[in-house]
Amino acid sequence: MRRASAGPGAGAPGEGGGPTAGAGPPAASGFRADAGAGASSDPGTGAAPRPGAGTRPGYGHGPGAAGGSGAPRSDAGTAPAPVPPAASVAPAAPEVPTHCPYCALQCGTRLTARDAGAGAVVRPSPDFPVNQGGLCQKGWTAPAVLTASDRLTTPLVRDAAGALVPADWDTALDLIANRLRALRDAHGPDAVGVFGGGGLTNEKAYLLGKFARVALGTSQIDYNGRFCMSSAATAGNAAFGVDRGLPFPVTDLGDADVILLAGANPADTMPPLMRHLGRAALVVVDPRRTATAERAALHLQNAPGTDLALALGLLHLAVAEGLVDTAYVAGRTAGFEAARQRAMAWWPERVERVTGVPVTALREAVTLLAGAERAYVLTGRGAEQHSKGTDTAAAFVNLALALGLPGRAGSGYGCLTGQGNGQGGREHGQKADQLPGYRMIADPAARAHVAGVWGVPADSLPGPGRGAYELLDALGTADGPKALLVFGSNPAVSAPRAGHVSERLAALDLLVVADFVPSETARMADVVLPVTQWAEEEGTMTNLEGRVLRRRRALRPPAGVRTDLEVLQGLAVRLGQPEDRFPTAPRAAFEELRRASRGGRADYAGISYERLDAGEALHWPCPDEEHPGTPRLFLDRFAHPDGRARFAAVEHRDPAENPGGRFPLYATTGRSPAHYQSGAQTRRVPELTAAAPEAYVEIHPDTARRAGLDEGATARISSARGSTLARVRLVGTLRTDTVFLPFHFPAEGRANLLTNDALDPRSGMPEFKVCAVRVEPIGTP
Amino acid sequence: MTRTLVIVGHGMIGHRVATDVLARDTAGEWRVTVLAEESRPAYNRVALSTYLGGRAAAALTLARPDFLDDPRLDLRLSTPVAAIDRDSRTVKTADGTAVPYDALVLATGSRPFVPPVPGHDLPGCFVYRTLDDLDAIRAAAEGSEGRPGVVIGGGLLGLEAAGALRKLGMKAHVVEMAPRLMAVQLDQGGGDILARMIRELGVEVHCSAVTEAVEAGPDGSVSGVRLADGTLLETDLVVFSAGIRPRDDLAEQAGLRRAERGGFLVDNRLRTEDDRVWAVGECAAVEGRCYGLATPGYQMAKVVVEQLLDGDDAAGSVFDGADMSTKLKLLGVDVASIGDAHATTPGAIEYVQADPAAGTYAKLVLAEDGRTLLGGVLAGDAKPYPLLRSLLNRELPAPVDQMLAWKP
Amino acid sequence: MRDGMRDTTRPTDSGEAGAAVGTTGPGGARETAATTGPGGARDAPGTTGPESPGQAADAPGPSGSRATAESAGPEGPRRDPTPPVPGGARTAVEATCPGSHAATPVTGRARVQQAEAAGPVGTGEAAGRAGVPAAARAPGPGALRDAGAVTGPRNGPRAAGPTGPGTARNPAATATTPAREHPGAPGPRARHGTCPGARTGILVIGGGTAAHRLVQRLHELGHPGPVTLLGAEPGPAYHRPLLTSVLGGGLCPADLVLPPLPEGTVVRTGTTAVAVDRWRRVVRTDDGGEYAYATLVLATGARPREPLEGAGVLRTLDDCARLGPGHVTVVGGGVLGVETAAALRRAGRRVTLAHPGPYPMADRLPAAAGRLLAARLARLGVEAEPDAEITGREHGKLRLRDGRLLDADTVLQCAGVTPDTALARAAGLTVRTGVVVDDALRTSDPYVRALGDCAEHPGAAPGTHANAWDQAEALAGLLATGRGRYRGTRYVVRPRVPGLDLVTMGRAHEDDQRVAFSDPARGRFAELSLRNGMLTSATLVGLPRAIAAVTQLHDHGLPVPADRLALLLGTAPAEAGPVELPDEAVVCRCNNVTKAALTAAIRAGARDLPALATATRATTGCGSCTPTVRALCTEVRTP
Repeated sequence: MRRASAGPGAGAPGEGGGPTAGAGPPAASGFRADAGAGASSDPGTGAAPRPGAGTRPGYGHGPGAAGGSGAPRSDAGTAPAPVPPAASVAPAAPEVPTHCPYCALQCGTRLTARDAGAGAVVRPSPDFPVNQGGLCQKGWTAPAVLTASDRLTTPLVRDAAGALVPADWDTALDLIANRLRALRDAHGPDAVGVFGGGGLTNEKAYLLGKFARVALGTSQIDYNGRFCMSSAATAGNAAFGVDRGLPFPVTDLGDADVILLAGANPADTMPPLMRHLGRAALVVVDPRRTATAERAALHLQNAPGTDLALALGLLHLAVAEGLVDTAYVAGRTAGFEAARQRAMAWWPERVERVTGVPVTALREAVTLLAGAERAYVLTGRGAEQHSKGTDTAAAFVNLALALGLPGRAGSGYGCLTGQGNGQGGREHGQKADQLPGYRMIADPAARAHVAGVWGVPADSLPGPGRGAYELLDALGTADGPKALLVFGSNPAVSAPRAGHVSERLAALDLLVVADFVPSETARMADVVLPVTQWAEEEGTMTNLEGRVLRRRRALRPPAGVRTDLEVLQGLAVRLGQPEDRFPTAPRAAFEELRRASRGGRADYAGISYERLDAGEALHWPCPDEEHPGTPRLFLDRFAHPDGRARFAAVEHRDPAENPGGRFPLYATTGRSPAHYQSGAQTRRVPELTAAAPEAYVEIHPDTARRAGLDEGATARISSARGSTLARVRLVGTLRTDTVFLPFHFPAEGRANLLTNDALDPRSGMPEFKVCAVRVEPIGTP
Repeated sequence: MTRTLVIVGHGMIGHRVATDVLARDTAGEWRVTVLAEESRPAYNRVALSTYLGGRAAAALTLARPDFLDDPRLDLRLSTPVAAIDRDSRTVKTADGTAVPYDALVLATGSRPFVPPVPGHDLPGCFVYRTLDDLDAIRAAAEGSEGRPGVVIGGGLLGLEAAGALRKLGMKAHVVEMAPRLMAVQLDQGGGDILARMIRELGVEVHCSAVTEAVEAGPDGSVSGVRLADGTLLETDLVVFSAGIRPRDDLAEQAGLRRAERGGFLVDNRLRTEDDRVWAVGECAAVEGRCYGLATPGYQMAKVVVEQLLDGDDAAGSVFDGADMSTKLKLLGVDVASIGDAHATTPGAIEYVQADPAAGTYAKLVLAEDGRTLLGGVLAGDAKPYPLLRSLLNRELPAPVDQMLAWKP
Repeated sequence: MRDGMRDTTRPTDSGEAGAAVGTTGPGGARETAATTGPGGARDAPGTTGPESPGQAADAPGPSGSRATAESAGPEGPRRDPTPPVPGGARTAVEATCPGSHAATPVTGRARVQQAEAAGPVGTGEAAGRAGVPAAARAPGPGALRDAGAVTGPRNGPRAAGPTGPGTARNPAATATTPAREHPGAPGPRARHGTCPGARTGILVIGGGTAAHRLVQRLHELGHPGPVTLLGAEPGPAYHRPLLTSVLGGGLCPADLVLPPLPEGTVVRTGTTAVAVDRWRRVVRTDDGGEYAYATLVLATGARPREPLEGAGVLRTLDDCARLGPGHVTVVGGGVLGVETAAALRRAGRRVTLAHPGPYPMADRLPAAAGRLLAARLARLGVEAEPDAEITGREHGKLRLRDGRLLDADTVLQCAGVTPDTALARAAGLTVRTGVVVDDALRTSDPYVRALGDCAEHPGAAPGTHANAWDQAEALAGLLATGRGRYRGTRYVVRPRVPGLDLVTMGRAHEDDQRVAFSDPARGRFAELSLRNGMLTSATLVGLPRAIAAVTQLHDHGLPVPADRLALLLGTAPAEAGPVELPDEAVVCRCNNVTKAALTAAIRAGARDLPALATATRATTGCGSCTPTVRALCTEVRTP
């Protein structure tokens, strides 16, 4: 079965012309909140109580402050009766406490189901500390997707004529299983790839990893979080020995004096997080004067791709002004000397020339940070989505360490996870090199432990596979996978160099997509499997604080729709796996996850549905049932064997692609307030498409005038890899050499038709934030 | 019973007082007697240089037939005034006649200042104020075809005079003591552009040049102008237009106080210490300060007329000091000076955009906030003048480049 | 032959004086300043040397070259015979250091050991990659550049590395095999070190920023090597621009040391190249060693001009350590002079700055900017001696041409530098002011390249740190991948004086458009010159945000934004929109007629100028408002 090749810009069949097909139901959408390219959402941080006085037991040792005044309260208040299994429930009328389907803040919400088939009503949970009764426009309108007109309610199989036609589950699953077995027999297990997402619950992510390694036996699995958190994760692991986005509850930020935000725009992407940033003086590093920069005490507006030089410059000033916390550096870190040496080459005047940030602003930033009693350094996608993203995140970690922030009560370093389960999703095995509990698949002890839990021989587990982009790039090639199973992701829109990725997807022998709306990727699939949405399923998510939360069912899914776990079990059984190895009950899957993660860096062993439903706030690690969880890490030691944090000797370098010649301008991509990731969900919400109906490009009035463009004109933006169409928005605060495009829009509106797929050698992160483009009126040949 | 208003001087401002009173005095309260020194009724002095360009004197006249024929008007030309007797409220003219007044407005204007350099009164030296002066210059310049003519003074009048000499076919030289032309209105940048444009018209410009003496030839008339640095400008025609002095010679005799630097001292309602005697125009020193332009003169006339007609309920009408903004065309070059052109306001910021090749210069004077307009200078292109003038002491509503590209 | 850094004869950007380099003197203690090279006195003392670029070289530099070049006259004083003692703190300055780390004396030996141990520890959980320490692997394919990472007709070399999909991993990322010779160990005096890779090797002469950066980038771009570096100084290379920070007390000497060179680099410190045999492609060193090369790179830097007898210079860490006590008179109004005076004041020293011209940097700054600079230095407590032309010294005092006598316990001369071209000249390469090179940084010999302060290229900005980095970037790209060009570096002079925001760049032309800004009350000044919308030169004082923005425009050849006032004030540009006369605007001043009155009259039937004149008197005064009134007429008439 051939599917129409979605050549560059061609978009999936049936795509409307113009930047997006505005009229009628959104032309294409994938429900899954796929991390997608440039998922520059800055995950909010949950609210937690004031930092307790005195030192707290640190990482992995001793009980956290469960009982103390500072114990973060659960969101449930009074724990509800567990909801009976889906099939037999009478129309649910009670209000169910759950969490928003979108970003990593995982705002607490209360859902009340309407009568059959009419979706649900949402209101913010009044007492969940992360959003404190707040919600953004996406949270308030999330139920609209439950009743989207083009909701998938039956499996679709591509017929001989190439059209996707309804089919029953058995036909669809049999077809997939047979094709997978045939491909595996012909080309070996690595002929089948699996592509997960940061929106999947912990249970789904865990079982997806297990399905790939056990049922398929393939190493070729990764997920769209590679485009979101991989640089921050790599830098975090290297520096602290563990990667937990915020090593402290988000409420701690409420008492901060100074917070440096590098490449993060929570005012747009995680509005409720701003409730915790009211007191602190914000220092924002961003090439754009974002809504967050508007509220900042100091905005460092640097040229795109120069965040690393800026971080090196701030460390230089800390050394030159004698502001380094020498006792902390000597006592709790290693490797300062090599990092300091690299920073010495970056005196302020030189940083000013490279970044465009005035010397006075650099000095003020360091003085503010060093002078604060409680200070934080936080990074977001803006600093991380580069071909040097890991080194850039590491440079900001260096600055935080030099000022003695990580692990000091009331201070710290953190990165703002983007997707709903961006944190949990990168811990339990859906990454190419990873096993549950944040274990490395190449580590014999890890393989032995997990194989034991899974009841399979350790050597039957495959080794590490390709990272997300390399996996997509290899699809349908000689030594690349011939089939791909996609869960909770929309790579046709969210991957860099989307035109090329669409070609690779089209070159597959078999593409299977599990989603609940016909996303751009689903419309290219050979088999589409309809799965449940967040309000229709049980499970757990881990928010940006590393706090495990319960997702609860409020209403029954439409007939014909199954949960992801049911799909995995269906396929696994057909591939010869025993049924109980792939449970469909989320609770059972979580119990297995607990055992698999026991002893790993992300230890969930002590976390259970019962404790969560009883209202306990549990941040991992939580090694046993009596352990209160660990809201704050690193208070007395870091996770490396010697307990010390590591500096990294990093050096600035140019973006992989510099503007010049035919492509004289920088293009940077990111999110708009109204939409989330590929837009597959939010483009199906009338209120949100009204707020941001179509692809747009922000451009400086001078640059627009020179290009012959006015406000509202349609512009063609081209890079060496493709071109996209977008509505012009004049923004006077932009740099004259930079344009900005949100990446939420499909077809010719895909910003990722432009982006550069140059990867960070340490994390595999593509360079979403910088590429060279040309802007011209539409119709120019 | 009608009262008599006597106006001494029929210049532009004296004329404005007369016309306004006659036009608004519907109740017929006043008879107006105008005592004019010159033989001609009031004419437009601002457009004087067009006279040499062939425009007939009549075209310059401000006194229209309906004014001249007004029965309430008693216009006496060639009637200079000799004295004022404030006790008997009568004015004595040169020929001895006494003219009683119920209200007296002095509008005697000003006289050109002639620096007392040796030879300043030699034949061949002229001033540039009245039509007669221009007639005399035209006569002297007869058949001059390319002969040099020297104007002392690089201000507004000096450049007008230089323009006139040029029209008469002479090679005009302008000698200015200050480092730049139009030193009062323009700053150095504006002056430089103006000088550059004028030189391109063939006028020789000598700035920072002090006139030491006017030299006499064998026949005792002018043969050249000697500058302090020793250079000699050979010429037989010199025009002094180095500023003006208010004509307040009647003050002493009439017992009226004079301002320190000359001019009838009047308050902001243009009244001398005698509540029946006012002074307007260039001869008036409003709270000690004289105004050499027509616009402030007209505003003074308005204040006096309101007092004459509305009596006490014109109490609110005062002359609050004219804003000195002005837009001029000098030898075809547009220049303009707006508000605090020299950034004298404490803390003022100056922003300049100049294009030497295109011959344009624009300066904005801004308050400390960098947004409120305090003044400006334009040279070469003065089209944005009305907009900038109207925005004085207000925030700039649009980016500077748009403001300076504005056209009416 | 001594490789030193250029000083301020040529404008340096951000005040640094070109390449960082090891300490002075071929292997020995600094030569006493008084000895004149063989063959004549140095240029007449007292000429403090014009600051403008290139001129320094025309002045009669010291005729005898201090380098004991093969064919030159009798050698200068014999080098200190004792070999550099491994671990001996030859260069470290024991100044107590407020810095945050132990001031371990760093010597050549220790530095090399660092090279081995230095790889950062991060295991880098990169997917699909064994945990190869990041430093040993080449960073992303993007070429390392510092100056001006942004757009426009690039003034620096294009990213030389191959770009495109999936080329994250660097093909030749394997660590180069360590040379037989233990890298960096200063061998016993007599043994002749031979260059290990005879025909493929790159031999770099010079230990400064340019040399150091070149070697670093060659490794990162995957050049197989071997790479050998001969540095005349015994100690490790360091950041020369930061010398004034040591003087000012902010940093200590150990802070300035450059990071270790990549593993496998053969480093010979304290070794001076004395001759180049271009036919056998061999370089001979002062210790009798011979080094063959496939490619020779000259990075010999420049030497300070010393017109004043017995006055110190600020060139090396030793110079910092050796600075005399008491009242210091700094001679020379260039960037280094300004920075040095300010730094000494920060360190609490009494300082006089004597310079030609009415204010420092007089050759580069318009008067208003110069006055602001002078005022800033005065506020710092620097005592100024403007218009000072020093004719000589008399019992400890400085004699000025106009007769003034300046007392000075210590005199520091900052009189610019001249490129160190002795070796190139002796080898018969084309030399003018510096060693002449083309866009491939090739000298007149295809196997010999030159870069940094000793090189001369029409588009270069010698004496600036950016110049050294740009050229090293370009040459590394050319030698490692065969691609790339050196496209020149733009001059940006940004003195490093905390609290002083001043920059000057480019060269104005007679008929350029000019934008000027002056705010004396707050010590702010700017002057830009433009040609069809692009910057040709700029000088800014006291406007930190504008300085950063304008420098980027200049560096990347970006058109200047339309709202120049907003650019200079550092504010967001005002909302552009149609601009109209407000209703209450007075259109005819002579008769005080407002736009509202005119509009009303037009609507009441006064359709043309004469009618309007009668109705409102407008245009009857001086007449200059006529065009506005006419325009209003047409505008209002058409509803």
